[in-house]
Amino acid sequence: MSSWFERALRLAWLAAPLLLAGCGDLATPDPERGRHAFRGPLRTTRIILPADDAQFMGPGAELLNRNCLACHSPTMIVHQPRLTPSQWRDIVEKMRKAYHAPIADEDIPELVQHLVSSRR
Amino acid sequence: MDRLDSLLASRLARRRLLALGSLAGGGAIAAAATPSTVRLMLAQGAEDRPIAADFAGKKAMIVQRNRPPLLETPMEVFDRGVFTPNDQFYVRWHWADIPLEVDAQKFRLEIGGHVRQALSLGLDELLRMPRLSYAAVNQCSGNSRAFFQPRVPGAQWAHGAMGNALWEGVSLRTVLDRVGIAPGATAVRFGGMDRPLTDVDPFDKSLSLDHARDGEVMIAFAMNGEQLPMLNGFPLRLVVPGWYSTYWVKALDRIEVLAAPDTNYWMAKAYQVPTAGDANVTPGSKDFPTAPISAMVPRSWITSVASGTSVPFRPHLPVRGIAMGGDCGVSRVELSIDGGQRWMDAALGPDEGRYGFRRFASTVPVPAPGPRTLLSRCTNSAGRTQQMTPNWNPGGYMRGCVEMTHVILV
Repeated sequence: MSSWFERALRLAWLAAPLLLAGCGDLATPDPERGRHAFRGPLRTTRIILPADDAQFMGPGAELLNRNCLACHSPTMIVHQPRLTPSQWRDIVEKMRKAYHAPIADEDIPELVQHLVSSRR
Repeated sequence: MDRLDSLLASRLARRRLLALGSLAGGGAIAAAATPSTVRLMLAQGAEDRPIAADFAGKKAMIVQRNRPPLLETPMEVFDRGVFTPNDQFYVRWHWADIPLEVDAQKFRLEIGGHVRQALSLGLDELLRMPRLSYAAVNQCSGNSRAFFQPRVPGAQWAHGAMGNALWEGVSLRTVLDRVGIAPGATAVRFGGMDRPLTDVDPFDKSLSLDHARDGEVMIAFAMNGEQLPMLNGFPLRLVVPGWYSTYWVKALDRIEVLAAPDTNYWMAKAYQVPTAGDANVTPGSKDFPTAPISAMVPRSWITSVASGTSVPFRPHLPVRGIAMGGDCGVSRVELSIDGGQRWMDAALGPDEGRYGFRRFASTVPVPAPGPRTLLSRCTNSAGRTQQMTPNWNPGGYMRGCVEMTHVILV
């Protein structure tokens, strides 16, 4: 005995070529497809990045701005998931030890506290 | 409440904006109002991210971080074809100091270290050397990190830290043969023009000598028939097909043959994954054996419908998407609408190369309107199939499980 699902599956298989041809999903050439070789010379290129003057405001702003924003924008912090104080402390330690971020020992507890509340 | 309900509920209940003052305490940031946002359905519900089209050479991209840029490709781009256009190809830089200007006449690629004759190559010379080209997926090691549960810190990518391009360049082997490998060499290290602001190891990556000489690893000067966008590594980037993007060094300007294992931070400490299968450990684990991340695993995504949306009910729902085999081809993609109890084969699109994306499509029989969870499952040509259970590791690396697309058919 076959279930509705198996019957539907068989029907779908019979109908699949027609339906696929109809919506053209796999038959349409890819718009970006190109096997042509790169012909040009490589051209001198210069870009300008969008201005990034975003800063933290409110409690802890001075500490966060001074310790974090030299290397990256605030979005790196505010897009993190909610992390525990211990996770934020590990991140601050990684910034210090692995990336030599000049964060003073005495700043760490307060910094961690503000990082935690940044994602409350 | 099942997962779909909780996703929808949180979507309605919580609108997390980046706008001024909407975040508590130090979280508030002062900036120009973001022009628009995109809603990503992540592990714990919906989160909004800015969308911007003002990065050089890029159309609308999801801004995970402004500086240095982490720009994610919106999912709908992958629905248009297997090749990801250069102007929406994702961007990921580590260091604050990234190359913004390159003089094509003055640029040199230096090849040295444990070699017979060091070499300095200009771009014109490189363009005159024998070429190769192939399609290959470039995927960040942490692609889909925001779906890890429990969540882990790092760039909170959804699924768009990946792209497939037709890469063109010179085989690394050709260049290594020119310099001649000295006896005792074991590895080859690659570095680019991005620089840290502090006195730490530059972002250098290395491959074993055998891998570097496999004939496929490429010094690429073109993607999709054009020179690389500056933000994707102009003028040269290493292409390591089948391996995660951390090895695809951008703005490549030095190659060093090593006679000893590479102990630099980016090989010895960063980008480490558990050696356990699927790079999977129990959440919270700390002491476990690790190894540098390497080959990619099979993955697939339904692209014709976005998770968390409603679509008109049809008894035969057209479903399409893209799949990748990892470090080999795609041999099969299956679909399910019942949480993975029953699977049906999807038709595969043209094979554009085993390292690239491959399209799949089918029409899935749906008995009635209502909420459904659509799944796709890829089996690669080595016989490896995506698992239902997500992996977990503290770095948020190598996600490869079957992804769920929650839709309501109305």
